[in-house]
Amino acid sequence: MIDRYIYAVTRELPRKHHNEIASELRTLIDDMIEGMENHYSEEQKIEYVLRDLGNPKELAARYRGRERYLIGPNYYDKYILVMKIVIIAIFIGISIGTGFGVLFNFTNISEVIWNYLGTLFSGILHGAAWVTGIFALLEYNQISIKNEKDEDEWDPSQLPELPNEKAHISRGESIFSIMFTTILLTLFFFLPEMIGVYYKYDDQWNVTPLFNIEVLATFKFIIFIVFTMTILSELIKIIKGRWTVKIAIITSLLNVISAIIFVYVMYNTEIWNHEIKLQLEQYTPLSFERMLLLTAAIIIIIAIAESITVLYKGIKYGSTMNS
Amino acid sequence: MKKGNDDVLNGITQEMRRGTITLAVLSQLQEPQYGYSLIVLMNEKGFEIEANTLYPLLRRLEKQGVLESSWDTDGTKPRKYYKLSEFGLDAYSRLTAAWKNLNSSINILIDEEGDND
Repeated sequence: MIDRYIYAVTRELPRKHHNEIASELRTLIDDMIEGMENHYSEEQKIEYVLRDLGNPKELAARYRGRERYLIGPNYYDKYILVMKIVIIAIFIGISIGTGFGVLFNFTNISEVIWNYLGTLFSGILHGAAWVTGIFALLEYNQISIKNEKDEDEWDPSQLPELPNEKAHISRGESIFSIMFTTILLTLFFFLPEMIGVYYKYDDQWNVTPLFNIEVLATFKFIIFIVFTMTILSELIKIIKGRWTVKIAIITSLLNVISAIIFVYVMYNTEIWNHEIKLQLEQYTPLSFERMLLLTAAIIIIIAIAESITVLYKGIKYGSTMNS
Repeated sequence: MKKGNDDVLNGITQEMRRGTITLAVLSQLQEPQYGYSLIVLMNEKGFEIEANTLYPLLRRLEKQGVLESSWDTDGTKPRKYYKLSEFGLDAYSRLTAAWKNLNSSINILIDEEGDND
């Protein structure tokens, strides 16, 4: 009975403390039993002592002190929101990809359905795992940030500004952006052969994939990082809800880094499907390299323009100086 | 209604006690004690404390560096002895001063109310 009680306490505690707490408790229980009057039977004594110590779960909770969360009450609502968005987006992404596949690439229908369900299952599992991971990270960091801040002396000037109408970050935009990014990511990961140029030839639809699938596979990790960064920066925006200098700097940094990585990947010529190169050059006056250069320039210009807008908003509406 | 009031009163009393437990425990740890001997000692002196409060508290104070501990495995049962660390000694004397301060100001407040009756 004593062993069972000690086990019930320690199993709720970190493993490295098991032995110490167990032997301390065992001695305690022994002492308490010895300290009782002798006209009780041994069993009665044990039962009395364990009752006195109380519910092992409560005792373990006292040993733990502060409760810890994987995803705590601060983030829970946002976690659910993002989880919904991501799962819906993955669902849409895979459905679109598979839909195109069915339209243009007719294989046998039961195979398509099985593939669809399988991809859907593994896609949603991946998405859910990553969302949970990202939020667990946020939760973990929030705890350490909070401890630091507690030591600072609070001053009324630290009160957040009433957000200027224009400082408000549109939640819809962020949600749309997460949705869009997730759909793209899903396509890249699970159905890369569906990204391509579709054309009709001899009354039949054909698709030339944009990418060399095997080479693309080696870039999956980098692509994944870029997309995750985008999602992360949108998440930060949703959580904070208004522009501040810090958020502006973080988002524009993430923006620029993603753009650089994108351009770097684009310029790896191996990644493109050789066929599409030839086809595109056949129908357009521009060489493929030219097109790449043009796209790269557009990506960089957009990234810079976005960063400038964001920084402008952050500095103009977010700084606590003007009150 | 009556029972609800009792609960409220109990809650407030417990809250008040909770703040004093740490100081009470520290006061008895100039000399090393193990958990159970500490409970007996404090009960003898009239301060009721339960094992399920004391043991986690001792561990936490040790983790915070207020107490230091050593295992005695010579006897029949292994015992963990706690005593004030150097920091703990300093902390204890400061806490004592703070307690006396608090005590006298509370007394003034309470006595004032007594006068009005």
